Amino acid sequence: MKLPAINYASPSSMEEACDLLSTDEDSKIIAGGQSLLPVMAMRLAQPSVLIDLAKIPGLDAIEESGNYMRLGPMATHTSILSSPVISKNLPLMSAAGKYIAHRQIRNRGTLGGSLAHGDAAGEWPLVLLALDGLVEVQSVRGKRTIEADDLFVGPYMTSLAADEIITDVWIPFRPRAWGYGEFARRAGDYGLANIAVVLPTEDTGTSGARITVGGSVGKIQRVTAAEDVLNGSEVSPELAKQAAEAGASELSYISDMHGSAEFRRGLVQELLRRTIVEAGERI
Amino acid sequence: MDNPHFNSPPITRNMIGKRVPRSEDAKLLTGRGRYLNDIDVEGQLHACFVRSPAAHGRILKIDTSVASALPGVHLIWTSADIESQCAGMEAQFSADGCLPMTMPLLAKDVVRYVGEPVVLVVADSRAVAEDACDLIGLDLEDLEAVLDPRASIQGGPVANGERPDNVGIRGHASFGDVDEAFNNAAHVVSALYHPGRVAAAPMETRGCLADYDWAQDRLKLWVSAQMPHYVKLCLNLYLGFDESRCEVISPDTGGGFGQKAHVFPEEMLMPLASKHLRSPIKWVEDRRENLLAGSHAHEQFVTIEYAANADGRITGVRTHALVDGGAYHMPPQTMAVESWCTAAVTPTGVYDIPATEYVYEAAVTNKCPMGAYRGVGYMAGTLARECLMDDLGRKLNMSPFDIRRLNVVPEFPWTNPQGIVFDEGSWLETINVLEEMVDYPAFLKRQAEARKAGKYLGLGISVFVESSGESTGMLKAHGMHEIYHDTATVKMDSSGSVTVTSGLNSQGQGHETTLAQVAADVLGVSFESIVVDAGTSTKGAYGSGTVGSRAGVIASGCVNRAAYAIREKLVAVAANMLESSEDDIVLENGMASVAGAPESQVSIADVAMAIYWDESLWPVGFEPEMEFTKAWDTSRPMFSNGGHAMIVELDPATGFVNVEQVFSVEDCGVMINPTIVEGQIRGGVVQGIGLGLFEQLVYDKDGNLSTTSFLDYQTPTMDVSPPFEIRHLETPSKISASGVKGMGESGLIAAPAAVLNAVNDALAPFGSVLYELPATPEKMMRAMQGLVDLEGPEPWSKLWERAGVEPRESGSMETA
Ligand SMILES: Cc1cc2nc3c(=O)[nH]c(=O)nc-3n(C[C@H](O)[C@H](O)[C@H](O)COP(=O)(O)OP(=O)(O)OC[C@H]3O[C@@H](n4cnc5c(N)ncnc54)[C@H](O)[C@@H]3O)c2cc1C
Repeated sequence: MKLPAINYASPSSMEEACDLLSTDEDSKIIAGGQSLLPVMAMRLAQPSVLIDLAKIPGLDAIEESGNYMRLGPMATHTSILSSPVISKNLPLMSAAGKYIAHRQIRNRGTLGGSLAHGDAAGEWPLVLLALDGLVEVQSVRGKRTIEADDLFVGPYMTSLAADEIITDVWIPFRPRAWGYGEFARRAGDYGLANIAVVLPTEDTGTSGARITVGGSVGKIQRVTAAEDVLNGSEVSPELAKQAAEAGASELSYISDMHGSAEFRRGLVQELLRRTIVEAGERI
Repeated sequence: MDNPHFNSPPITRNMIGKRVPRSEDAKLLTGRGRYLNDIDVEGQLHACFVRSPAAHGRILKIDTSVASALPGVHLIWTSADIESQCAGMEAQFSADGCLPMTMPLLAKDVVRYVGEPVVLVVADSRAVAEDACDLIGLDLEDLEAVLDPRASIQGGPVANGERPDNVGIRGHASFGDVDEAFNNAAHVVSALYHPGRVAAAPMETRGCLADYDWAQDRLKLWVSAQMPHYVKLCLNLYLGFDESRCEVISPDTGGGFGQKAHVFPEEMLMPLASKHLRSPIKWVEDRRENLLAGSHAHEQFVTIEYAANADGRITGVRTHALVDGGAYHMPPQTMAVESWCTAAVTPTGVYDIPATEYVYEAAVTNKCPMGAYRGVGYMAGTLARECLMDDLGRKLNMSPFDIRRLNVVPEFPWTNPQGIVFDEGSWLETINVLEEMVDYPAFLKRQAEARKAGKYLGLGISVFVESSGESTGMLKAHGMHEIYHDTATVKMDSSGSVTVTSGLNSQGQGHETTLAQVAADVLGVSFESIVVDAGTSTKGAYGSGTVGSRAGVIASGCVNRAAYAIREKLVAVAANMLESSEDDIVLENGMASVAGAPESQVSIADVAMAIYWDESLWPVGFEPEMEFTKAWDTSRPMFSNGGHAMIVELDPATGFVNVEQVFSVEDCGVMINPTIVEGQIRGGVVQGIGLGLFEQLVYDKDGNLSTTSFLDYQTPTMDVSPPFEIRHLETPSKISASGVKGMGESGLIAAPAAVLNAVNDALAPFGSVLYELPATPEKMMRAMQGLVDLEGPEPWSKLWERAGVEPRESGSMETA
């Protein structure tokens, strides 16, 4: 589990990084390295060049910008968790982030890395989708914006092109009721099930519920069947149960040594119920 | 036979029994420990292995041509390159029915488990060695993978041609009238228990660094091991090195737990390659290698059956223990010791059961070889015995405490059906104390209330007796012919400070502290004046290995005898200096004084100075040695005992089980250092919780190990480690130094049974009983729906017939 010899580049601007990334199709961005390096050490990936974003200034911002929080891709899990503006504006993010890994990993791991990695059990993808955020990406071809709804396309798969770099993460904030739940056997483990629930409140004036699921389902996704049950009705424990049932039966589940699909379905259903109830109590 | 080295001179306790902070901790807790991988030798190269990707296959071709051309590669060996130097490592366990098997250093012709070393690569760095491994072509022809021990033990496809019947050991014995017990039984209970496959998973993986000096024909081998002297012997037996030319060095070691009480092919290859290349070579495995090939442990299928009279008194026990042994005997422990120990050593436990019979078997399979891990055989045996005891209690509507009290041995000495004598113990008291600690009536009330609220609490208990300090006496009691050999060296300087060298090295247990406490009391000097070298080099005292809860008893026994020899020197000279009789000399607090006349005294340092420098102060005919090496051993087995109770909470919506609280009772005789004893209990019990709830090595249907990192192999972490309440009982041994008894394994021996009993108590309202560990959330969910997967025991007549036991008329054989 030692890395093979590898080329390393440390660009000082985003343009330079984009250039490097587009010249060599086997090159890869490295942020905190907490997902990429283990994969390389196990020799499951062998990028030709690692392009480090660490020296590019300004990528670790965490700030209010209008009705949005703007976060740089290099903001670490720890800096997000210790940010007062985040806990004030996006308490769901603070609640979910605590479940990420262990302290040492949170100190290095980044928001951009998590989103680009697209692990279905990752907390940040789940939260971004629930909070209806978006990412701005850049490449030699220019810039574009990707809504969270379009970002996560499969297990470890995002709609980022190979030459694109996440430059900014935008998350709207307004009064919303939220809940976050995770079933993991040990603190710091990837969850067997993770659920984020965002419900409109009287003064939100937004569309409907956004419920996202990760972990057991292989891909970060919304649980639209559960959202449909909740939309337009007052949340009650009974309704939460119905929504959970509807949501759980809509999804398909992975099966491995940590649990069969059937078992995971039960976990997701129970967690949906608990988390909807939790969010309901915040309305 | 009563050899002088069975004798323990008496000790006046002063430091013994104190909670002295561990002297090794300043170093270990501030990152100043020097572990194997912290040691570098100028010019060292690094090793890596191509390991078998298949569970069973014929090697058609190994293509090393591309890899050899890679810059930085120094050596590539396959079995053909080393055959003439080493024919492999033969191992055999000395119980009846075990035949030898030979583990090759590198697989020859056939690979027999995923992870088996096939090609050795030595290169400038580990990274380059790994690059080279990736470039080596290995052509295999698939052979049928033999993966189910319950099938392979009956014959069929062969896992390893050396044992064409797939039998690693098979034997049986019977003591007392078991048939009568079962024929007259009012109740018979039986079950098949299956503790899962686990790994000791020490934080520091295996590794070694071999440095052969061709100019002097000397070999230095640094190795992360529990039996360094045995490693040195193997350098001779397997490789032909003169032992006198070898030094095996034990640096700080980050846990062993039995895994490092083996000798591995990788460790034998480094000296050969170092000699060949005339370069030092380091091999430090990664976690993947450790989980694939570092030895697996504890997985057995144990069938157990009790005959009981109408009151619930057990009159006979039958046990069948079958271990899933993997592809080879891992030397020297072998797959055989696991099931033999379960069947032959554990069935009666603390209970007064007059008749026992047993069969033990080891099935050869295409999996990583089975090895030792804390509580070898004891864990599975205790699980079966203690969980079936709960079944019997449930059947008779008796509390787990009452059914045990009814059956526990009432007085000592007690002789078990095999004829082994237990001199003393606090077996009944353990049960009583556990019941009091748990506050059983209060628990029952809380449990009933919780159930009404949809919460499921469970209480599980498990009591044990442990062979403490594996010794010659213990081996003999079990009909073995080998002996143990251990020594310690104690040396006092002319200024009165003391160096103690133990033959038993430490993997973190705290030998440096405990042995200093013992030596301080024997010599009457301060704890601080003693420095302990806990077996860091085979140049020092000799040791049979830090295994089998030995070090506390055996090393302290050796230290006591060696220090006592110095004490006699001090007493002789002090008596001369103080003009008193030797019988009246007291050594205490650094002073030698005359009993009854404390003003008549001289410091021990001055006495030492006199022995080294001033002949005029010597008594007539005095011999001035101040350095002694002494052996200690026992001719009789000795036993510690204890028990654990656990309260768990089951979440009925998820199947998650949380251990709320552990209560432990330990009687290891006189404790040298209660803090260290408690650390051993906590660590062992938490490993037991791992085995009980979390850890499992999973092979897929083709024999690939799916759990090759800590992402999937889930050991318990601090957040799932419960609070402990620990109570000590003290029934001193009559034969050991100061009355100490060993206890290093007790936590893992008994905790899994407590976990399973607690889990089953929590499941009681659902009418299900689990027989398999770990109790994962999924198994719990299924059990709550009445679904329990493990199939029942095979008929006893079939098990007995296979073992060659005469067929009998007794219908009781089919009561299962
Ligand atoms: C033991 C362990 C436990 C963990 N547990 C959890 C957990 O419970 N929950 C969880 O969410 N995570 C967990 N992680 C992962 C951790 O959160 C990582 O930090 C995160 O997934 C990736 O972030 P990174 O900055 O380390 O990215 P890196 O590892 O550097 O990169 C990951 C991927 O993202 C790409 N990338 C990085 N930045 C950008 C960018 N700006 N634009 C485009 N692509 C980019 C890289 O090319 C790479 O493909 C765990 C990791 C470990 C080692």
